[in-house]
Amino acid sequence: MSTARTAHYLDGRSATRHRVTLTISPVALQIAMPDGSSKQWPYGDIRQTQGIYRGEPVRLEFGPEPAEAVVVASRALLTEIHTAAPGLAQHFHNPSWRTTRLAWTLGAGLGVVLILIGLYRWGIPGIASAATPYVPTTWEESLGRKIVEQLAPEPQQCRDPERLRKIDAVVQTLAATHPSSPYRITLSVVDNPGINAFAAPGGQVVILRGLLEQTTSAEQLAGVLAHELQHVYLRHSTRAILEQTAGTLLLAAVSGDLSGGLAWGLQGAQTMGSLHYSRTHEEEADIEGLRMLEAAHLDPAAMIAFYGTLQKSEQDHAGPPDFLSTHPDMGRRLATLLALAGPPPTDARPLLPGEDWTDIRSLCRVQATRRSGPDAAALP
Amino acid sequence: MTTAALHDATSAARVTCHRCLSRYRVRAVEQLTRASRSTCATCGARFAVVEPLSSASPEDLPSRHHRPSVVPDASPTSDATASMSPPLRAAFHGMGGTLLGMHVVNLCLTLITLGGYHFWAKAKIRRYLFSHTSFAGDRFAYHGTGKELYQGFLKAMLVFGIPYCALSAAHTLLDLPPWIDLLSQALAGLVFFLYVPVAIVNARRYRCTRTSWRGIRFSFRGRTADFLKLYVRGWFVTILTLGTYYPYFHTQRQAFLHSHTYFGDQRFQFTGHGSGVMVPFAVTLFATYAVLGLCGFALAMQLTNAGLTLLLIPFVLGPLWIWLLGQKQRYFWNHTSFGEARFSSAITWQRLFTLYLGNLILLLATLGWAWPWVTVRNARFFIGTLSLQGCVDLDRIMQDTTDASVTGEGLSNLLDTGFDMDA
Repeated sequence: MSTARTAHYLDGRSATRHRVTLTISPVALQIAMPDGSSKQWPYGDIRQTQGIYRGEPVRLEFGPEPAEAVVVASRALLTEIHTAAPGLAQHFHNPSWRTTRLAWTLGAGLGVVLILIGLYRWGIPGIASAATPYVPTTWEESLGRKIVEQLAPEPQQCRDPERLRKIDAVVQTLAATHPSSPYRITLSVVDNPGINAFAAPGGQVVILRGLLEQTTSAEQLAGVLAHELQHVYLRHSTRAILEQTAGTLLLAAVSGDLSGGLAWGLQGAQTMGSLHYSRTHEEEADIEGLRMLEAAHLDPAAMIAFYGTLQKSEQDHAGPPDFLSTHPDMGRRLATLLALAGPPPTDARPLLPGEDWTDIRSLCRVQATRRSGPDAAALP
Repeated sequence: MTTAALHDATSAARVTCHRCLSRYRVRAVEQLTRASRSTCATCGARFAVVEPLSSASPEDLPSRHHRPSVVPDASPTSDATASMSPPLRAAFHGMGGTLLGMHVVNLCLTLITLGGYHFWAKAKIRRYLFSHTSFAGDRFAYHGTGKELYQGFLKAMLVFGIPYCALSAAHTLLDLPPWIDLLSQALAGLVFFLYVPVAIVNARRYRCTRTSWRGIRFSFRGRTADFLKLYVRGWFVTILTLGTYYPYFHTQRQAFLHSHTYFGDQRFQFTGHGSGVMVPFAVTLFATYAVLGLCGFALAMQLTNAGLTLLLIPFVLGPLWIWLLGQKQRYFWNHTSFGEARFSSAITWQRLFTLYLGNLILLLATLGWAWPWVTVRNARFFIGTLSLQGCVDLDRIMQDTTDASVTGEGLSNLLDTGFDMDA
């Protein structure tokens, strides 16, 4: 049974390599030194530090650091030790387990895919939803102030007090449906031709002039505002920040050692993920906004009509495909709203009765003419 | 620069060129002065006299301007055959497939442990890479553990991470008066600036002490405080001289790192000087300025197709920076020696460029999944181009058992115990 093998012996004191002969006995590894002496290494005290992977010589160490070591080119030595001393050699790598290890590796690969899908679908949004209630509203308010300062600075805001108060009445009608909310909703209108509106965390809602002028009634504006207010009440910005953070942390944990290419790929996946979460938030705001209108005794038909207007103006220019967009496809959003809206409510109340909406919505124009009026007069 | 060693002190001494191992006979040793200069007829290495051999002062010599002539030595001695041993080569034997499998298992365990396995995964990968690197036919061994990497991470977090994060958080979360805000940001920058050199030295210290070849450990004995001084002064002078000092600073950094590295009880030497990389550096720097200036000009003047000048950046500056990297690597390794033997690097910019281009194509074509193969390609290239030429008596190298040399002394103990946290 005991076959002799040549190996290199390193004494841990000098860099000299000694050619030795190894013999495998049932209890110990016997090393015949070139000077004729011999050493006995009991299997239990030997540590295997190399020879686990293909193409690696087997390295067995013995004793305290700096340890003595024998290095053997062939892994057949391990098989022989396992055969000669099956009970004592369990801590040595067994080359016959190669197929088992391959199976484990494939299993791990499958596991990674499943875990990542789970985290992406439920884990990250779940963590964000669970953590959001613990974020103080004061923090949201200060963040919101910074955002509005950046995107809608004071000088660009339209402030015609009379008309602004009427628009604000629409906001407060909607806000009245959430009496226990910690947020105080404030509205500002920005002199910008873009057709857009956004809600900053903490309750500040900003509408661009372009969007305001597209609405044909106060109810249509209420539809847009209901959507934006839901972003505030559902704390979507905070959740997006938390989702982004959780995603980044996950990415850092996963990609710690992967520099270069794979990291870029994962970065791309993260961006796609945040777009996906953004679309989810938009859908949620649509649905909850619709419920809010109903709770405020307003007819959701105006909201749907306005979304129809938006869809028409969108059709003029091709947007990015759905999976690359922050917002879901308008057609799909409309379909969802139509399915949810149901029959027109019987107790629907008109907003701002007796007011001329076309006059109210032109508050930026009024301001502009008023501002340029005296200047124009001063010119010769 | 001395690239030759004088063998005996008689009037007809022999000289061996350290770079190409050509041997020469010096006809009139007594005529050598400190000002004497010559070059190797085979490889062009410069010879200089470091110390005149004769006790006679140079003034006593009859002809100071006379150059002692050096002629090729026609009679090889037994000593010559011993020193003409073939160069010792390094090689990398790892395989991309195995590495990919290891990464997949690591990824799975890291996810299950919520990132905790990261350090153990890193140690495992490093053990594989070191075990598959050989020099003169013998494999290296890595002795680091995940636990040590984790402790190093905690230590670095304690000393640098917490102050840095606290200062950055103060900027984003608190409404501070502008001057305090500015001060805290400057302090955060300073913490990060100081972290880099401390991390460089300590990562090297950690890795050296955890690496062995033929059972003998490497070690790094440079003090963090010295490197910190070199680093701060280097950047200061570099900024003052508008970047022209940088090659000198870079070489000094390399000199510090190489010449404080030991294998067992034997030290590595570094004989490079900033002037050696000055020309490639200056060429690259001025070309970079020229290209960026041209792009800026074209864009500022809104010339037609001004955007096309931006293509100069990857297609002209890319190869140029790769060329500089190759030149630097070659110079640094060619001026590193170990005992009587000298390292030699066979890096050329063409091969380096091919390597990087291949890596880029591989990564783009596989969307990053060929990353383990890129690691293997890089290791194979950088390790494979390295060799050690000259006679080196490996059997005489002994393990250095004085533990004090590994850890630092006194106040700098906390920083000098070695930690490693970069990838």
